[in-house]
Amino acid sequence: MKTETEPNETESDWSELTRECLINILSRLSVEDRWRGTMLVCKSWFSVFKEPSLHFVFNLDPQFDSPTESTRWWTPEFEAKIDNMLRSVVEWAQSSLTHIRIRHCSDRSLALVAQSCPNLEVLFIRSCPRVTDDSISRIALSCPKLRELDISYCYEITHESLVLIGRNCPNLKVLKRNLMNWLDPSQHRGIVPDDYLNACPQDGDDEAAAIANSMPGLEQLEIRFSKLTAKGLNSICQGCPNLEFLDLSGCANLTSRDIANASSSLVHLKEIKKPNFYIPRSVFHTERYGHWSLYDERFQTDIFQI
Amino acid sequence: MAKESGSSKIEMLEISNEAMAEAQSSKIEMLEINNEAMAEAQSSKTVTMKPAEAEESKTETQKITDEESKNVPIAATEEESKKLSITKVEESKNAATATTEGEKEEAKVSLKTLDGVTFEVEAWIAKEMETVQAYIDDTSADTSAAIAIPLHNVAGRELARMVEYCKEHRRASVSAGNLKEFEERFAAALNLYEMKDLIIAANYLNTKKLLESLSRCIAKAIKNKSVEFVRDYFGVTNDYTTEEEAQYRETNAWAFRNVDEDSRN
Repeated sequence: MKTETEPNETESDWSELTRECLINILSRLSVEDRWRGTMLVCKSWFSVFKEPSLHFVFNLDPQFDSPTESTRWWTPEFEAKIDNMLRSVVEWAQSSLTHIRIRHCSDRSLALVAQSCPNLEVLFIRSCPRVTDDSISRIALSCPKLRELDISYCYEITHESLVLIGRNCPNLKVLKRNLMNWLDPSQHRGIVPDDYLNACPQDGDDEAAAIANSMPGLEQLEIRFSKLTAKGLNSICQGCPNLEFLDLSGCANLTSRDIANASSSLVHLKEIKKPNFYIPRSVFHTERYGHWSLYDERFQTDIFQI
Repeated sequence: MAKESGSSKIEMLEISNEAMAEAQSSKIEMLEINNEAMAEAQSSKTVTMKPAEAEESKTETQKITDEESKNVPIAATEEESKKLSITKVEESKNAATATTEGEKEEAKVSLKTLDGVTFEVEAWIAKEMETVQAYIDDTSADTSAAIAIPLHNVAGRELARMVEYCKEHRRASVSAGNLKEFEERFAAALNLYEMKDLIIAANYLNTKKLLESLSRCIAKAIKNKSVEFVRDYFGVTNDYTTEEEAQYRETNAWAFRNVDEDSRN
């Protein structure tokens, strides 16, 4: 496009641009480009920026997908900014918001989501240390169209919320409830606060029972590093017969035999990710056995039950 | 009896000879017609050629006129735009007459712009303009053929460009690569002033493909740019007071500003 402008070109030229045209242009920009480049151009542009049709989806995942996680993301200041953004979008969307993919928000903004987004279908809120059962139960009661939910690394959410979600959201097909790698937390150290790392939920079987009893239509389930046992896995496989994808990476309390036995009833299963790693000896203080090669068959003996 | 049968044989032979002669002459006529059609097809603009072949096949005069057309300035005055539009109409008429073999003469639709220029365009082009198509659907077919459809919000210059875009787009859409290249060329030839007028016209006539193309182009130009750049680019005056802007920036702050700034562009 030529950049030189006509001699008599003034600001009135582009102010003639119709609302529909501007919406069409803005809809082709990413959330970041809209937010940083066009929102505050002038008052008329801001009124267009608030058009509900531009806010069906609020996706900040690309911003978080950097190779190194920022320590600042775990601060209350950053959380407050994310909350402000989410609250603004919810207000502008006027109940048309269907997809939310963010991290590091809190109950403050999620309560508003529950109140104002009855058409919500996708909610991804991983790594939210201050999201609790309070806001999730509100979401469960107010957003019955929910199809996908990601509450990974949200340690203040318990199995009670899962039961409510399952009962009130019959269309739920995807659940992601991954925990951080508690077997080797070095990848999170220095980024995630230590007290939060140590607060890893221990009630793997309770969560498994909640999923099994209330989410019969589930097709994809991710429970990486969950502390569930064979009992919990059996209940999931019986309660969720439509499972097509199951991620059990890092579930150290499960043996290969447990997984094979439980998953044999899942006729629709296409892919299963097993806890495919050796557990460091230090975790189990097994130095006294001398030869690690004796235990080469992964997770086959009770010594590995944590 | 024998005599009769003999004479009838002769008659039949004569008839068959005549038939043969007729058939041969008709064959010659058909050949001539085919040759004419071939010649016409070769001279017509719509024959598909490789770009290199097409360039070689052009006469010197054609090449000169092509060069001239590249340098034609955009009409600034109403009078000039009328002239420009009229020449475009003539071009579209010429293009319509030069149809390929087997291609039917398509129905035309008359469009009258706000500056009083009347365009005659092919029905398929009118279909691309959904506002025009809706008008045709609402009125009877006879009326639309007889009366020029008034376009109150579109000037001749914009309509000429839109017609050109539709034709070129159709030609280029044979392959995705050609189409992308054409759209880039088309957008590059416009300055911001023309771009704005054209996008407003495309929006009014609801010419989806052109609207999408222009919107994409403008979005690309302001991608990864600051508020200040966008204001300058479009010549938009900032009507916020300093206090208002500071307040808006505070309440609607982009959360990731100053977060890992070094790793971001």
